[in-house]
Amino acid sequence: MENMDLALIVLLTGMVVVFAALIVLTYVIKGYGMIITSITSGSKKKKAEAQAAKKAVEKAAAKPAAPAAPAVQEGIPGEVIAAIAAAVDYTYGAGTHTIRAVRRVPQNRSAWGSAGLAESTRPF
Amino acid sequence: MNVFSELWNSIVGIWNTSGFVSSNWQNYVMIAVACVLFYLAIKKQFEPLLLLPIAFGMLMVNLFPGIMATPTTTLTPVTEYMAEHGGQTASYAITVLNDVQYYMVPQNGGLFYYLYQGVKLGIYPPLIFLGVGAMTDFGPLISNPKSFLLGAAAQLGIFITFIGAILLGFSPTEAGAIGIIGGADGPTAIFVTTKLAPHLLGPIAVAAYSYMALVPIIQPPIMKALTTKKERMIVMEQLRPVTKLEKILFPIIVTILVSLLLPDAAPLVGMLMLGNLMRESGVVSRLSNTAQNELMNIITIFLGTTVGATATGAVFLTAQTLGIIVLGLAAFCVGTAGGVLFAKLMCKVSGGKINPLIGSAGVSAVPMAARVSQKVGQVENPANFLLMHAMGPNVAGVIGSAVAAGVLISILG
Repeated sequence: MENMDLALIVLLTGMVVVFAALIVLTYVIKGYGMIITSITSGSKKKKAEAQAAKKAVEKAAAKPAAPAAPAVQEGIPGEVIAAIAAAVDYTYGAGTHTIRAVRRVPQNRSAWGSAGLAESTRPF
Repeated sequence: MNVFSELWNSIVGIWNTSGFVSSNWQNYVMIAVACVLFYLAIKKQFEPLLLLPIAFGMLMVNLFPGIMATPTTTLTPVTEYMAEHGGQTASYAITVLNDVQYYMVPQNGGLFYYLYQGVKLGIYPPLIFLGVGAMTDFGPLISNPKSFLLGAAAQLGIFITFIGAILLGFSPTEAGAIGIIGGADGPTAIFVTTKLAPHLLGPIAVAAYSYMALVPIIQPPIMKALTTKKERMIVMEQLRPVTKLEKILFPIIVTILVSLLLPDAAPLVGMLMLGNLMRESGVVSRLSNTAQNELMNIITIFLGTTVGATATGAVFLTAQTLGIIVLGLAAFCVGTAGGVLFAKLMCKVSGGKINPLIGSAGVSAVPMAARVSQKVGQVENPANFLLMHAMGPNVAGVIGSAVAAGVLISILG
């Protein structure tokens, strides 16, 4: 009988505490999610406005000459150039950098060796 | 002639120390159980990462019990020792009994005994949680925080089973450890059992991991029985994208809130969230990779084999173990039903926007339970993708079962 009382206490306390803890988390997560969303959407709006203004100014100015095609070392296939250009675009942002030349760097170590070296010497 | 007699004596000595003489029928039954687990792990691929080392630990300890032997100290009279070692003394500690000096010669324990200390001291489960945190994307939960409620509802199995275990005559601490099987979370079950009822660790761990492996078989009938075809066909709205800042803040906030509210849950939840913070911050990718790969794998090997090694025939083949196996299954079923029924309630309240099938994922068992929700949903509507919606309650279940563990330890511990 004593154990049954304890069992009921554990059941009620357990469910109440678990629900209470997770309800608190629900509202906290909801709350900060809303705050962050409103902040980021506000800054996005400002950014979009600034970008639109910049574009208008750029349009008004004379159209600059198209950048020259990069100097590509002989033997490097077009697919590799496209992959490098895409990687640069992805890493630094579209249109922020221009590739002037693509040439092979002389390598004494195999690609796997270099990867291993980079992995074990990169600082924390 | 003397040579033959010595040879015979040697063979008899080897035979007497072999497993054929020292093993009893219980060991052979456990070897058969281990082979069944091998079959489930290798052929059926049910949680092989855990079942395979558990089965091997079980096999080893029933073939060679000495592998789990505790270290001992033997007392050797100093004079006897010196006579045997040509008059040389040793640096062992000396104790005096009845005016006779004895060397206290330490005997090492078995290999698994030492590896098992990580389980016994509650070190491995939080480290596994570190890896789980590093592998888990809490995005679906952050974008739909209501999932937390399903993670809470599915813990019903833990507390109902607690009552069932008390009714079957288990002590309150044993009942607490048995109930936690319903959390469907191996590390949490081990953590709680080591604190409340360490002598039941073997059966509870084996039951918890076996049922986790059997989630695809246990859950679907309950899910189908408690939902209508129309409910199972509900297509849920797409989740909103979650920003990186939200993902970074989440583990910090959860750690602070849960640790303040329930300090007993802090080791599990704290390590889970540390792993997740390492993943989401993006500045310690090496640590995150180590936590979710090398560290996790090493701990899984140690945890699996040593938990399996607690299942010796004499300990495992008892009526008590049978009771634990039955109660564990009940815990899983009630937990699943609790999650589905609460999801049905949420479905009604939200005007049919929530598919009740995602409620069953609240029992943890990441990501298997979420996959089951997806699979059962797609049977009714092949164009329905519930997986990401089910991942919310699924990871909420991990937090929920850790909180439930904290409650049990704080009340019964």
